[in-house]
Amino acid sequence: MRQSMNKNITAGDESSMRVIDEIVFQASLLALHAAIESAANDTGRAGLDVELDSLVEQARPPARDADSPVRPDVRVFE
Amino acid sequence: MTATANDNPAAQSDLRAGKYLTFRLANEEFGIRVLKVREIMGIQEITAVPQTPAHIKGVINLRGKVVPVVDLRLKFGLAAADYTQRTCIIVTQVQGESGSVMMGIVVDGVSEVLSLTGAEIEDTPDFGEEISGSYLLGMAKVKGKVKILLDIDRVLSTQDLHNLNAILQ
Repeated sequence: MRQSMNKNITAGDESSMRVIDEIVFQASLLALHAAIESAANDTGRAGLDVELDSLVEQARPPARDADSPVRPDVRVFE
Repeated sequence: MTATANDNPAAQSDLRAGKYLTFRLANEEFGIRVLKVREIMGIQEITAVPQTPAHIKGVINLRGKVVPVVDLRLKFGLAAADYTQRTCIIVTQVQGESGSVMMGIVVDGVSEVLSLTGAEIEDTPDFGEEISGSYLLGMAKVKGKVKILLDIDRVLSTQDLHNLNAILQ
């Protein structure tokens, strides 16, 4: 099983790894902004300039891209 | 209590207690006050401005505002590194002589928001010689490691801004 998994990842589309990487990055940015926003709220300071909505918007294209390349790989495991 | 607390060194370190955004630069972890941070973004196109020092990478257009960007590696005299997918620009609100200005710093990557108590923050040790500008807030001891807390107002001294403004005007 492990072997077949490794083979799958090496043979698997490198671009899907990149897309996943991108999603992780965007998600971590979102989490950090949320943490900063809440810290600002605690001290009564005005919040961030950036709207969290727009960050979510940025993360959407990679998330959509992930759908197609990753799904066939997932099917192999099923 | 508050009147006498300021004379007390322990209370002074309490002033530094709070939330810090930590980021990576070379092999070290640094922290700046979360309240100084306006935005974090992935690396994007930076418009170079001629005749600026090497550490001033240029300016970015932040939703219609032109914001200068400083490469913190170069500012600190560290080796330059290629920008990667992890490279980030942290947009900070810096207190200058002429009021507060926005300035971006390029770092290798952002890590997390840390809540630090006064006890976790230690004064900058005596290095035996004067460090220019005393841009260090202190040293944070977290999980057996040391993170360097920066006074971002002092790091991005307005000297840089004056130089840049002189060129832009």
